[in-house]
Amino acid sequence: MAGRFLPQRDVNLVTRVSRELVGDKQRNKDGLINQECVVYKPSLQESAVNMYGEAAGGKKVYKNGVQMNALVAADDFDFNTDEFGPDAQQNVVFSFLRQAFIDASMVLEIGDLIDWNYGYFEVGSINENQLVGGQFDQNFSVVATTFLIRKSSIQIERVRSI
Amino acid sequence: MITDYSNAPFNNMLFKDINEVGKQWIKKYGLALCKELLGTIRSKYASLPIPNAETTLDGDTLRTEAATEKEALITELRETLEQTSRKALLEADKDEAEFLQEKLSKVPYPIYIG
Repeated sequence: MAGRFLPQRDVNLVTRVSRELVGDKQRNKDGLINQECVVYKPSLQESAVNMYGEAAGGKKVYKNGVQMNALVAADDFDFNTDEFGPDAQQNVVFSFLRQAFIDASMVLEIGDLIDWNYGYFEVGSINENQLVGGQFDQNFSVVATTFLIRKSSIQIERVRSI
Repeated sequence: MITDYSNAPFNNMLFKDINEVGKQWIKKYGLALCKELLGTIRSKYASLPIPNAETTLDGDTLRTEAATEKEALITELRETLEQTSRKALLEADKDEAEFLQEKLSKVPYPIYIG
């Protein structure tokens, strides 16, 4: 329900402007910024779990990905070098339009994977606290803070690793 | 024939009856009005939320541009009308006559053989 000083037309304007900027994959429309990523959700049926319900040996199986548009803010790479060689780390914040997830009939959760820039990022935390006009039913964005994970620990791409 | 304000027909003119210069002026003024309206609409919210950020709209810029363009077009129209006023036309005629007289005064007289 729209507020007295924020009619539904204005809320629609805000959504429309955001779609024009960010892009709208569900309607196959490119945006001005148009940063794309693919969101993978784990398949609970296909992932093998141990007696505690944890994915056994870190071998999670993921469902097919869903292409989404987001505003991406990536930190610089951080390399930790030890006796096994360099280990790249990167934190990335993906800001999605919440309506895009509603259109895709999907909910982003902690533990989901996001494919972006030839890397896979696991969602570590989610923030849904951008309320348009202070209205809690006009929750506007989904901000996911993610971290880079190894391709060998997921079952999406076949990679050479130990 | 329209020579000045006194015989200009101040009734509702049809767009198709306006000459090309007038049509161009109307189109430019219409564009300025559209800019002003769009600027007013975009000025309602100086900034709009986008996911995890805000974007600013160019409403104020559009309104400023529209005001400048409207003023320039009104000035242009006023100058054009003044150029075609009765006084300006008479002055042009006067200048033309004076130049003609000056030119004729420099024509050599024919040799009179009596």
